[in-house]
Amino acid sequence: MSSHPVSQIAGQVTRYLFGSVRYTQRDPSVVIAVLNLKGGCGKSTIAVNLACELASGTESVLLVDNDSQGTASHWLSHGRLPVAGEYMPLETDEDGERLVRAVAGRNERYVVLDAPAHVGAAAFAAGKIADLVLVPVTASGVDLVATRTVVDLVRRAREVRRSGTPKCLIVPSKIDRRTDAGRRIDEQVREFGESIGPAVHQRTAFVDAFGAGQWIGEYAPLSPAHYDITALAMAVKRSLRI
Amino acid sequence: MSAIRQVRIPQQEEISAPAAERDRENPLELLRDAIARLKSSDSGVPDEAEVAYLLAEAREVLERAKVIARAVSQCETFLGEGQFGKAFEALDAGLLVFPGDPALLARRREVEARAALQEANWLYEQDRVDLAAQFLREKAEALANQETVVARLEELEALLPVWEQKRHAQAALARAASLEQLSQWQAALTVLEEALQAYPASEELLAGAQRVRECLVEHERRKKLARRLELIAQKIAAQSWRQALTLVESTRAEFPGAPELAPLRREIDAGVRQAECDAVVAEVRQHMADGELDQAEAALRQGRKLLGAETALEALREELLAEKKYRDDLRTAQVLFGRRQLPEAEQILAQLVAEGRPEARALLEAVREARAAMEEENFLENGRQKALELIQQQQFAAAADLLRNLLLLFPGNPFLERDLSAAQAGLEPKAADTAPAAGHVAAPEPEPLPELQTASGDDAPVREIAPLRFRRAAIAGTASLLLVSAGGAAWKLTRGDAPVSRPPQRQEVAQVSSAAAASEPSVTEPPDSPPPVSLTVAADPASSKSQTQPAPERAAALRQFVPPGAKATASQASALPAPPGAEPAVSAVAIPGLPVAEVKPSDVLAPPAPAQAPVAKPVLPPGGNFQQAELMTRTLPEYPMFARTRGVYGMVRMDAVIDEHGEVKNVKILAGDPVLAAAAKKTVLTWRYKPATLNGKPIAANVAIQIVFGDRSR
Repeated sequence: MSSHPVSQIAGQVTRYLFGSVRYTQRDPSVVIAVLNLKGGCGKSTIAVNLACELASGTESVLLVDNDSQGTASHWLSHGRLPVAGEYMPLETDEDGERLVRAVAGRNERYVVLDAPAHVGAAAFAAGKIADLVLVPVTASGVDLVATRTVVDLVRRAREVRRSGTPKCLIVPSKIDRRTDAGRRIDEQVREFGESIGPAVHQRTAFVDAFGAGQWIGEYAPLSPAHYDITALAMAVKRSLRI
Repeated sequence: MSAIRQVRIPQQEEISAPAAERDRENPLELLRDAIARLKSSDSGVPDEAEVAYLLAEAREVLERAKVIARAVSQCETFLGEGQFGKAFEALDAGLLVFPGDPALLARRREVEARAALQEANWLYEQDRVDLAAQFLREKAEALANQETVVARLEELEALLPVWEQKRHAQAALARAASLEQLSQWQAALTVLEEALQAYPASEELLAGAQRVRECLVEHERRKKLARRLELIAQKIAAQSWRQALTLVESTRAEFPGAPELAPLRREIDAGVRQAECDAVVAEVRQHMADGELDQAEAALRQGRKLLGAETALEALREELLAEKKYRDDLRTAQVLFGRRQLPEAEQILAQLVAEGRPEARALLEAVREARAAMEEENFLENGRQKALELIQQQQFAAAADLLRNLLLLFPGNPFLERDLSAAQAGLEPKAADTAPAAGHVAAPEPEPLPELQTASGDDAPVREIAPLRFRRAAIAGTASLLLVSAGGAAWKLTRGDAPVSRPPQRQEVAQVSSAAAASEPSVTEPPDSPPPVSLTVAADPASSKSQTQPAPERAAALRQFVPPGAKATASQASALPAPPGAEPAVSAVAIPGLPVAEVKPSDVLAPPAPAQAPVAKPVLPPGGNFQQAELMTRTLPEYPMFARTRGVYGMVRMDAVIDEHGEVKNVKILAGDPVLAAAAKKTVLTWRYKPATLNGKPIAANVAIQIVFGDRSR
């Protein structure tokens, strides 16, 4: 304590003003990017249903539609999903910077990005701010080629960030085990050297849920499709925790 | 004056002629005599030459008189105007015409005397008596006959000593004043005292010396006061408030009325008060740091009583209240954590962390970890149940997809592997035909199927409606399930270190072997007897916690979240998992010849009910001294012959409510084989507990119970 009267008064004023003030702090949002450079691999299906599954607990979730196709936004437009949504297409470098600023200012526990189906600085920006990148992969040779590019993008983002993030989870998508390709998908994605998540199978319930504007947990609770998403959410949480 | 000096003054003897001779030589008289002689008849006819001479003389005299009169007149005029120079010029002009004229000379000396007196008076007025006296002294030599000059000179010479004294005194005072301005009090006093030695009677010097002495004393006093003030300031700076106060008091006694002491006194009073306040704050903070909030509150109350509404104390009071609220919230969160009400605990802890309580973060992480583990465990159980349902509904492909995903999340889980094998077997219709040929013991038995179907759901309509192919597949799948169940028993027999009821990474259940049935030996089993089983009723404090951290370490880690102040509260200690050996781990004792169960109420960290089938938990007030229910008496479940003969084993998880009387109510089966679960539930309902207490009052509370029907030989 300073003995100078001015210092004493200043100290008392400071204690009076700030003694009862408590600064609040929050954890930054966990950013999950669903990313693949090939269209039709189930990005929006996985992004929307995963976001809703994460939001089914007590956590708040923001779903950001970065795809100019606007599939997720259309899904959200029915107003039946338990998540907040934003349409923010990523086309240019400026869009990437805008995305970074927008995500940094959010309070939601999870931010799920439905990334665009093309590579570029904007997609790279999504990879740079993501904590986890989900790469949906269908049992198709074309998908496997596109996945290689995404995995390379993720690894470049890791080099830039020098922190081992973003983590990567390859999600077999639209899998039908009755087909030969569906049975061999696990072996094929293992070659990428990244973690493999639970498979999201080819189920009509997903299509019907999209048509109804609902997520699978609301449209067909406790259905196999719902269990697919639940398992994926479990794997996502586990990946983020470890 | 210069005119005066330019004119040569005639000598005294030149102008001092005898009066008779002067009268005789008076030209007017001579003329008057000459005219009389001419008029007299005696002289006959006057000589013209003589008359002319006389006339000339007369004219000369007349002229001289006119000149003198004019000079004197002008002189008087100029003197009236105070122009001595012009007066001298007028007289000198007359003297130039008639040098040595006695009248003019006399008049000039008078004018000189008047000028000298005026000059002397001017000097006197200028307070230069010495110069005036000297001037007159010089003039007096030339104007010795001027009495006014002499008289004035005498006056001035009489005034001169007094004047000189006064002048010396003023000089000394002026010098002393200049020294005073330089704060040279002692030197000024010396100057004045020296002057007093010469003029001891000078009042001015005496007064000046006295004043300088007073100034000197005042100066010394101020110097001393300044030294005292500086010392007090040093004491204040060193926060030696008592010494500073003593110094101020002594200084005030020595220098009464010194205005500088008042602000210092106020500052010291404020400092003493602040010091006392700081002492109170330090004491309160120490108590707070020690977790002794009650003592902190008492100290703060006493401090506020002594010091009044001090700002720092008010802020500290707010802080203490916030700290108490934080402790209460943390305690509530711990109790909720102990009751497995993880979302509520997480909500409270997240709020604490958001309010800047980083120490709550570790507990929050533990709660989140436990919650995640609980979610995973629920998902495992529910997913497996769903897969079994799908198998029952002959949706083998969907079941296999689900089981594959489950196995990806829980690799190596024997149940999942077994179920997946069953589902995959269902996908191959031929397997149903080949399964009985495998020669497994349990496969041919027709009885288990209805039991299992009843357990996992109503499947009869499916069997009636389904085509024959699917019916065969269902039979094959169920048979495979039973085969795998029996195989699982064999697998468990071959892997002595592997868990039987849980995945390998979750082997934290305290397991005690028991006899397979009440009628069977507890240790040795004949080789041809049915598969020996073990019965484990487990209370697993750390079952739903981190997989990578050993249970004792986690218990110790959790204990550190308990605030120091809560040590005295038994509820917190009881609400936390104790390290091994810290408390009676399991109260059960093996009874020879009877099935032995080791029972511990998993009141604190037992797995909770699944989310989709919530158990109606009694609402308990958060916080307080919560003491969990303790198991007092229990009997052991019978291993159902149906299950035992078919190698059905595994864990049954239940959630039960222990009411205020210690009786088991509202038992909910959370997981487990239905046959085993029925036996377990029947037995658990007979158990008696010491009821849980909240602040000493018995209340209803939830307990989670796990019973493992396992291989006793392990």
